[in-house]
Amino acid sequence: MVLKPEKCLSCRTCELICSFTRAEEFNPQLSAVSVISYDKAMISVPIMCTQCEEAPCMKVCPVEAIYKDENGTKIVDYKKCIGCKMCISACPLGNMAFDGNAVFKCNLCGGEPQCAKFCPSGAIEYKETNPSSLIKRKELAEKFRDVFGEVE
Amino acid sequence: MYGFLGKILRVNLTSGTIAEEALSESLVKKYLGGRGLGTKIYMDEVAKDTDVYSPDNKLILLTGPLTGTLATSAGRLMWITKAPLTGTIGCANSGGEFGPELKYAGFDGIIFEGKAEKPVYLYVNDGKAELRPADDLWGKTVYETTDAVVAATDPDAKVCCIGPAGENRVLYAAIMNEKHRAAGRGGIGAVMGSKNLKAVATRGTGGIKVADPKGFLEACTNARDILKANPVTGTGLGAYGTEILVNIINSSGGMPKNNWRDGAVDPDADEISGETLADKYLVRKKGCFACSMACGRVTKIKDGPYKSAGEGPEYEAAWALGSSCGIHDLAAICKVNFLCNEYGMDPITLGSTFACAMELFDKGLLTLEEMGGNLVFGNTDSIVEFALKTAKREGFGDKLAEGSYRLAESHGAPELSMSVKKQEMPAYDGRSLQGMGLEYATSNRGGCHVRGYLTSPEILGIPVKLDPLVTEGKAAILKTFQDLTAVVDSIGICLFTTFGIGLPEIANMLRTCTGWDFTDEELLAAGDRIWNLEKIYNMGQGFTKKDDTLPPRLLREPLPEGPAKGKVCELDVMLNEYYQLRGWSDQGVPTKEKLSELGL
Amino acid sequence: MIIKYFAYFRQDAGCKEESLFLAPISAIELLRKISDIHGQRLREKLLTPTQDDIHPDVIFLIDGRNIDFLQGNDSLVKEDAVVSLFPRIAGG
Repeated sequence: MVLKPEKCLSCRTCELICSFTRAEEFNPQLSAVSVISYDKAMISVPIMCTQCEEAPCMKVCPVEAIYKDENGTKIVDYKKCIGCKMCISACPLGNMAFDGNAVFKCNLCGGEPQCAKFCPSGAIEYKETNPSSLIKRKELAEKFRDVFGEVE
Repeated sequence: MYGFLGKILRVNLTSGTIAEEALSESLVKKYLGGRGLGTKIYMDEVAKDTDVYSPDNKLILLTGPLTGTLATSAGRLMWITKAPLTGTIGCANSGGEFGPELKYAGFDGIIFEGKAEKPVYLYVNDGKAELRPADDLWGKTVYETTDAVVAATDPDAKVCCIGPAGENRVLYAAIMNEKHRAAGRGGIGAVMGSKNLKAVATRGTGGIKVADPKGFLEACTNARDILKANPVTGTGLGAYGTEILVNIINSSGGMPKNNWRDGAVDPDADEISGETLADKYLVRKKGCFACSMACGRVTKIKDGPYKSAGEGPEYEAAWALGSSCGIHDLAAICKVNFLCNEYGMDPITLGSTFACAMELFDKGLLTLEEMGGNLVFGNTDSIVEFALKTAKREGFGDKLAEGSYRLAESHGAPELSMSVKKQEMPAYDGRSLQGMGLEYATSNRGGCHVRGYLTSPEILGIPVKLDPLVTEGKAAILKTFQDLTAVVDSIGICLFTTFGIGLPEIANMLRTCTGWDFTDEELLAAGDRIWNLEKIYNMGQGFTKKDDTLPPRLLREPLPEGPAKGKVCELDVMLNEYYQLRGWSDQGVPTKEKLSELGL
Repeated sequence: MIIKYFAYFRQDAGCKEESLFLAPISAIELLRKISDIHGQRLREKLLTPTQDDIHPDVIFLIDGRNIDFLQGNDSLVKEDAVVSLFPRIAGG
């Protein structure tokens, strides 16, 4: 997932589609993504699980209920999960939550994350490759092209 | 019930009691929610002759069945009461996040009755509600109040509140939410102030379910795809905000100068345009709840005498404080717009009232002495100075706080108030946009542009292209726009979605959300019903055909220049056709047949 | 004649307005000429891909009058006209 908070509209559509996809209900509390807005700083930031390489939630789980799938996504196996909620304490970023019945986190919707699909501004994008500085370098280069390059 | 939760709160501010009430689904089906249902409840419960500031008056807050869902731009709420400025039904719409949060807290709306002995605020939190003392909040600005209430309730609470303007009963005081979003026109904020109600806060962790989840997701995705592909809703509004209208309305000869006195082509219009705002002061765009269009402007003036920051301005505010007053300093206009948000006041009426005072001065009917200052055309500093004085009702501000009609009338020249039913017409000249002239004359809340926004076909060519200079076809399309807008205002989505989607998409989202069975035509008929309901209220308040008119300037002073040179607004021919199409008598009274057809 | 550009047409044309010295010309011919001057990016926005029609998202005013209510693509732009070009955008 690639986040560009400077593009965030603070519309919270991501929260709506996430909670609806997970629980067939519009409820930001049930969303694995949250938009944090700062009035004075004039910016909003969408936050969801960052799929840590060294995931504390995986490490702390006493019954090894959190596993890594073929895409590297960290998934909760509800057949094993006992609901001890240690993973909630372990995640330093607040991305493990409890919905009243079970813990939950972003599972990238099985490969087609809906927040990225519905985000109107491109603040949340899903790119298969790792986020690379080349993408950002290209964006800067394009600005030079537009200003100084030859007009076709 | 799906979409709506089926529950509202009834808050009696006199006794301090709060009760939970069920919403009748048959009533909701008939009047949809928001504007329609709120007006129905208001008319059923408040006696006709109730004074706006009486404890017997009620103030109703209602969301729509789609508010808080994935529907396109589904963040809207409506406040309904009698409007202090006009005496007509007053309903003011707002975006932001409060509406969805109230539904997540378990309620579709709130009815406020009575009057608190001392200032209070209401906190609604997950099914519970309580009134709390607001003595220490009284006198505070909208920004200060919001911060204080959030600190006292929940870091994620959303807050509606009035500023000093509402407390001082400025006749066009607004109710603000999330600091920068406004339920702006008609003076509903003064009603809130008269009840000693300073703020309403809400925090909710519940959710909203829909009748047909799969169908609803499809309907919303389809509607969102349409908005994304449309140049207006997909790119234009987000890039430049509503001020993008400045240059096109001006180029079409429709942007009135100097209290509408000096024609409607402003050579300096570009200085206050959306393009200039984007170049100079825009920090970023912002969207209300669930909105992909993001017409909101986060704006900062970094230095200079008007250094300030906030959100806005919108086109009509920029015009009212700008061309209408002969002012072209965008930084000053932004600053006054921010002051309007901070003090809780409508910038459209404020600017138009300034312009009226400026013309009264030019005519020798108002002196510098009486004004205690230089509120004259082109004096940039004066709009900042008098905005504050108006909010506080200080000095001449006390007279400005009454709006342009009462100001002009008290100085012997009511015709210099550019208003209809005492509410000032915003930024589209009815002589160059004939259809807008008809909208101003017939709108149920006085001079209002948004309830029948014919600028869309007349200038933007959406959904069809209509020549702004002709009268043919305007009555028919106005009725459709007014009816559809009434639907949109009642179900909780933003009106700007209709630049891209239409009745079929709206009906699909509503059907799959609520599970109701209705045709597209039946939904539009509900809009017609709501329009007629508002008309009945206004008739009960003494409004007649003679009030469906325009200021003499529009009817008798031809435009001196521009593409509409020589034109006046040919209201009569359009009005007669309009009454006919509405199924009303030639005096503009709904016939028995029409009322029975609508189930009224 | 004066050509005024608005919204993002300003970026594509590189200016807010310009004076052109041309004989009376039809609206669509004028857009072809402007596209020749300012390049492909503007051309794509002003004309359809086949270039035989004005792009539907263009609002074209001659002295404040929309060509839709004059003679459409054949509307005559005189030597002293002021042309205003807008992408189809909105507000309210």
